[in-house]
Amino acid sequence: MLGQGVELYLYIYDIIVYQVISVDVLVRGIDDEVYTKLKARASELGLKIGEALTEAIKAWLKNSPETDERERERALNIATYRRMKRFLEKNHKGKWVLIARGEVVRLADSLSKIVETSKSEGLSGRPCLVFKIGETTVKRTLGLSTGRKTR
Amino acid sequence: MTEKTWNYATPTVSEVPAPYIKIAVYNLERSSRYPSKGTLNAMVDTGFDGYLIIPTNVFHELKLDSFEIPPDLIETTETFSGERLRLRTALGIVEIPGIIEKQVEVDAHERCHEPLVGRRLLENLVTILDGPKRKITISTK
Repeated sequence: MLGQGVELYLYIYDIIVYQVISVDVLVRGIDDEVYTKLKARASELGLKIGEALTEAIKAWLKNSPETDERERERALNIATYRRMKRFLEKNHKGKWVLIARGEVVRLADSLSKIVETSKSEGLSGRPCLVFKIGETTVKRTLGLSTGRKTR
Repeated sequence: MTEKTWNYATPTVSEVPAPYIKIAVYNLERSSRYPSKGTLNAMVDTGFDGYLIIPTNVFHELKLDSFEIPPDLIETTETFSGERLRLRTALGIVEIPGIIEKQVEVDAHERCHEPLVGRRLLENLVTILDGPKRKITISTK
């Protein structure tokens, strides 16, 4: 009885381990040259292709800005800006605006009031967007610019 | 009138000595400063028409993205070589100790290796480049 229990446990353990820790996937469209280099490097390091790919994916995920909480919050604020842009330009031209946590937090006549709101709302240090509606634009020339600019 | 003079230094990307001044950067709330003590060297780049451009790591360290300008309001600039640069820009404060302290647009780019001071920061100051003596002098009017 006990032996059957252990066997059953090991059977379940096998399923859990193999299903959770590794999966078989078929990936199409990998660049031939990149794959050849990956195979060569994996061979040099004594790794299986799957192990090398796992390491590569881990590194990519770690460095991907989308995984960063700040970047996610920033992206949310940018999406809010794009969604609200026309409304703000039509109804609140000339006002300063503060966008945080994916919403318009404050409209104000001066930047100093925006800074006050940032402090009072506990937004200090969090990603926020700020601009003067209809007026803030940034144009730069860096060194040997041809002056051709694209948005 | 106040006046300060600094010696030229060698940039990280060139062997030709260039004018450097000492600055400090704050976030808009003044809750963080870079560097935390003292000043950092910033090269004066008259080919740059902004206020100040800094490396991305400094931008993040100061949490300048707390007062960032939406990227849609920032035009990308195509350089002579055809390279397109997309800057991140935020509102911050720059100080040239003893000369000025000003609220400015601070740009950042990942390929910027050292701070560059542009023409707009200097537009109300008198800047003298003394090539033979390798000195830069900045003064208020």
